[in-house]
Amino acid sequence: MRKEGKIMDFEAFKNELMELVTQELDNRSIENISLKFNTINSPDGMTDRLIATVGDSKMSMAFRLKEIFTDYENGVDMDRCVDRICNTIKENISVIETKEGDVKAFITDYDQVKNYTFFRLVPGDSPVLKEAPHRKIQDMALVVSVHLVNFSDENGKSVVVVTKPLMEMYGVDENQLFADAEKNSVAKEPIVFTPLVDMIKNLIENDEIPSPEDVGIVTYIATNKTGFHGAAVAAYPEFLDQAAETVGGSFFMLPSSVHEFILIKDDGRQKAKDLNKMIRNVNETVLEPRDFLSNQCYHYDAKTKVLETGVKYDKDKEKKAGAR
Amino acid sequence: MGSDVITMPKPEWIPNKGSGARFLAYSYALSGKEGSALTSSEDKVKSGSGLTGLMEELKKTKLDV
Repeated sequence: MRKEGKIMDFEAFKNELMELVTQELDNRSIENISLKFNTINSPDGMTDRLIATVGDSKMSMAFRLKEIFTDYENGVDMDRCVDRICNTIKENISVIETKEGDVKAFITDYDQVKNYTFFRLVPGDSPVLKEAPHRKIQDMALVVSVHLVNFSDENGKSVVVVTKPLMEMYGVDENQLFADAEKNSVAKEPIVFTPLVDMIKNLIENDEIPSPEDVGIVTYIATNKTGFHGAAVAAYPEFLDQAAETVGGSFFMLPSSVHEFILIKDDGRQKAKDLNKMIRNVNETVLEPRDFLSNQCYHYDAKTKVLETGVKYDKDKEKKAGAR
Repeated sequence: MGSDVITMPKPEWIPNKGSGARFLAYSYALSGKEGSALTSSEDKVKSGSGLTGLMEELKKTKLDV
């Protein structure tokens, strides 16, 4: 039964969604689709999904239930949720049926894959790290992901994180895997620094938007050429020195998302605890959960060439000041 | 048998979504205008920088595992 006029909780919502999608698929005579709920290890954490499988295919469509539920809570009509899910299923049945073999042939052949592997930075507690070869960078982790060009378009990209079994099947070791990914990342997704104020102007036509530059704070966005998983530029060999040169000295790095960092020149006014509070606030109120990277800032000292958490930097700084 | 599961990882679909909301939020916060950042960013970014709602999101959500 529909529960008109009141907002359902998540459990009721997902059960009703499944029921209505099943009915609508039947109404549209879309057959051979099985639906189930599953919780999946995603790079951004465990995510509740509605899985739609076509026949006995090993590929499936996986709708993020929490994101759909959030939009439902924000006023999107349930019927439209169902309509769009069914449309997406219908559109992708043939894609799965025809391309599954291609994807499998591609993803399992390192000779093809090796030109499409890229660095990707994920939270240090990401569930994918249980299986994926990775390198720790502060409280984050660097993994290698394969970009599936044939499954990507202007709306987004399909990617696969390389797991240890996959790497072993490729017949390469971890060093080779990361070396190839670094080569591709640096060549095809070079570092791009953009002043935050310029980015804001490009996004919003409004001269009244306040800018950190107004109060003398130098800020840059550091990402890659496409802006996709661009926070990984932090793992490029020359990144820290290039960033210091761009910003004009030591700087704080704010993990604004998996797609970029915001760099703030360390002019002595910033405190890590204040920056961390700001990061947490933006992460909790604005950021898409799947784009989360970290809740704390980092500091790079251009003279000593040390990268550390902002909190550690501030503590050491206070100790030195107290010793004088 | 098991190797088929291992060797056929399911692709994860990452939609292109706007970055405007977070940039705007940081811009407000860093410039000392934090109090008005979120309400202002919600309105302006959704209409002006390509942040998409559920309909677009669902349309793009495919093969996402």
